[in-house]
Amino acid sequence: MFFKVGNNVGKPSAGAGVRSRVQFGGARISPVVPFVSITPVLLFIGIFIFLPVGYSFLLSIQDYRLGFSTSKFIGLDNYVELFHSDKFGNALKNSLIASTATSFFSAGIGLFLALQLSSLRKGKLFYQTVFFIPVTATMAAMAIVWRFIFHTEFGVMNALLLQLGLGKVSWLQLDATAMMAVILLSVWSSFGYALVLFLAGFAGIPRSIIEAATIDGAGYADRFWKIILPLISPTTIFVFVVMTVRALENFDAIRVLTDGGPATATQTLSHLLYQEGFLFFRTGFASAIAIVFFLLSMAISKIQLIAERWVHYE
Amino acid sequence: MASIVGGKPERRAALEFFFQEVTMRAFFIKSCLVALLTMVTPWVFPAGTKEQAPSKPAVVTFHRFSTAAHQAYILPLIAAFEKKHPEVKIESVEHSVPGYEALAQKILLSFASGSPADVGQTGYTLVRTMVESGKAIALDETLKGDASFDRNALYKSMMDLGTVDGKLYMLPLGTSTPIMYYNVDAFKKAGLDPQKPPKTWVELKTAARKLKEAGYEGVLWGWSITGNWIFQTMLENLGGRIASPDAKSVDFAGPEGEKALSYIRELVEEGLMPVTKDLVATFTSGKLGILIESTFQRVAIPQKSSFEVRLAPIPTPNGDTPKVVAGGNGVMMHTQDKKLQKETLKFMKYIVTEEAGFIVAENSGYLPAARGAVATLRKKYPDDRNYSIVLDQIERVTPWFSWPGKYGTEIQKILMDMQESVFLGKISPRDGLNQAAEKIKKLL
Repeated sequence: MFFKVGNNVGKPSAGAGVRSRVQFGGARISPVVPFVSITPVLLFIGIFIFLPVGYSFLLSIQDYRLGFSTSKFIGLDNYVELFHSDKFGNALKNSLIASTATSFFSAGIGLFLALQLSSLRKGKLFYQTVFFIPVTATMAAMAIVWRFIFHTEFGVMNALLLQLGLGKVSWLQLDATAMMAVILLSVWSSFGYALVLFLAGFAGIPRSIIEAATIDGAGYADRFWKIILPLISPTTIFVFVVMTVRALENFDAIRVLTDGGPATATQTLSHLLYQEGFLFFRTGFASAIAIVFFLLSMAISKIQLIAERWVHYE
Repeated sequence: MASIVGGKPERRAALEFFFQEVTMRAFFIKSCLVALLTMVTPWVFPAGTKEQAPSKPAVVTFHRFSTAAHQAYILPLIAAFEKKHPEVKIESVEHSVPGYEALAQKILLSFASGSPADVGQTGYTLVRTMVESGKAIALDETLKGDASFDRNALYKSMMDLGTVDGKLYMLPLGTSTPIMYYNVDAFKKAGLDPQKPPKTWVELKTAARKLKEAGYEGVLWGWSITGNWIFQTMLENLGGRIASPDAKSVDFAGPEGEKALSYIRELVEEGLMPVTKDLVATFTSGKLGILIESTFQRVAIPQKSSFEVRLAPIPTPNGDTPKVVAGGNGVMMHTQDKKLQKETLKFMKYIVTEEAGFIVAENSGYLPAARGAVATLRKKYPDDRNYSIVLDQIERVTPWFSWPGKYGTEIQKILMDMQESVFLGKISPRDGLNQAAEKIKKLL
């Protein structure tokens, strides 16, 4: 706590020349100073976050098509249409499946690899870099590569299956395998991020606690379940929040890999938003999806943050 | 002063001229003289001034595709126009996007952003959307009485593609039709005669079986091209139609529609057709025997293939000469500036000239709108069998159906998704057609 309100705040002035003060570190400053200091950041957030959200809401209550000369105020009609349409239910279901699977697998693989790397004496940085490379890759470009990996006729996956004496699979043409491909690509691009966060979490565990447990006879499993996992629980929560939000926002990979197909089997909310806004030109309706999507992301983050009650802080 | 200047005497003298002290009065008189000379010179020597500063060309912003296949014909087209009309400069706003919807989206975005396109390239199925946006200029009034524009020199069927509710909004840039590409090497290995490509649906299925036995994928109908292009072609060759011209009657779900979808589903079920949207890549990989695609790929497919590619008219149910649905695009005027409209129209009119049509046709698989260009192409390429098949189709084009209203593009997607579900065996052709028709009727 850097700012502390002075004793005389809220009390009537003791006389001329005496003003309210707040404490900043060791100094007492005018209460206006903190507000002035945060103004640039507030302006930035206001212009680039709240203003677009507000504008999206305004568009969502209009029948407005991209670039058209006219628009009409229609109240909540776009929301009513959205909640009554099959495509919203389908996209919501797909978004939840994809984001839940992605966050669990990314966090799981990240944690497993972080545990392995933390015990390495040499080459830790090398492996860390290698695993982090997919995070930095451009998803649209990588999705093109993965599309050819999954191609029925000349893809690597089917070539491997044929080598094993198995038959070809139409990976991107079947509902289940197409969703699996989307999740696989999403996990591939995210687990490196989780790994780095978990490694940072491990660095915060005092060695003395682990050493004491080892001396007391705790085995590897005991140390992991009873000491390491509780102590990195704040990191774990953070990883889940980040992975879920990243997965929900995943659009470019889906657009390139499956384009929401076959039919609408892998269509998520972000893809539906793109489709309505930019292929069907229904800007008002797409804005309604954007607002619902925004609220959903906030709600999921909030639920995960509520889980912090069970988190163990040192 | 001398200490500042330094150096050789003559150089020093020259520099001192600039650095000498100037009285306020002398400075004022000299300044007035310079100002007077500046004002008088253009008036005394008007011709000379004109020569030194020629009037700038009018700039027309042209929103267009920029993928390699489109650059191949658009760049020479613009260069030829600017050479002929130095008073107009075409400023291209290039969009490297995959389809007509994405390009239309960029043009519509330009209206919303306040830097609107003066002229834009638009797919035939999106003409209505552009007109409904209120940002398309009808050309009838401007072209009326224009001696430099001869409508009779252009194919009526193509001009009709740019007409909405009796008004002309688009001039055709390039028209493509469905065509069959086949792998000659695969035909030979499968024991098929490359001189006699299949003409009927039954022959096509038999050829696909033989290709499969020889280790190839059989045939791939380009069902994914904009959702209903190939479907409409199949329907019309069966005697059906997508819908009535005013879209009040939705007709694709009739027996013709069921027959078309059942035919493709049988191909898929027998393993004679892969269900993929990667049409060109699948064919050029050399593993596919026959591809039904657009004539637009006439130049690109043989270039990308390491085997001999031949073209043939698409097979029809009974082997009749096929009716072909016109795909492709044209240019629409969007500028509201009356002065700029004149310059924009020069460019649009140039696009449908014989010269421009020849440039487009030679550098792509598009068919030009100018009859003269087609005649010239026939003379220039009398022995090109593939090209003559493409040119022959020009007389038989039928309009590509454009769905009206704000759900037009969504309806195309419904049709495409329905076809995919039918081909993948998720739903029967009858149920797929009924469900799609029901959804579309609601949207209409």
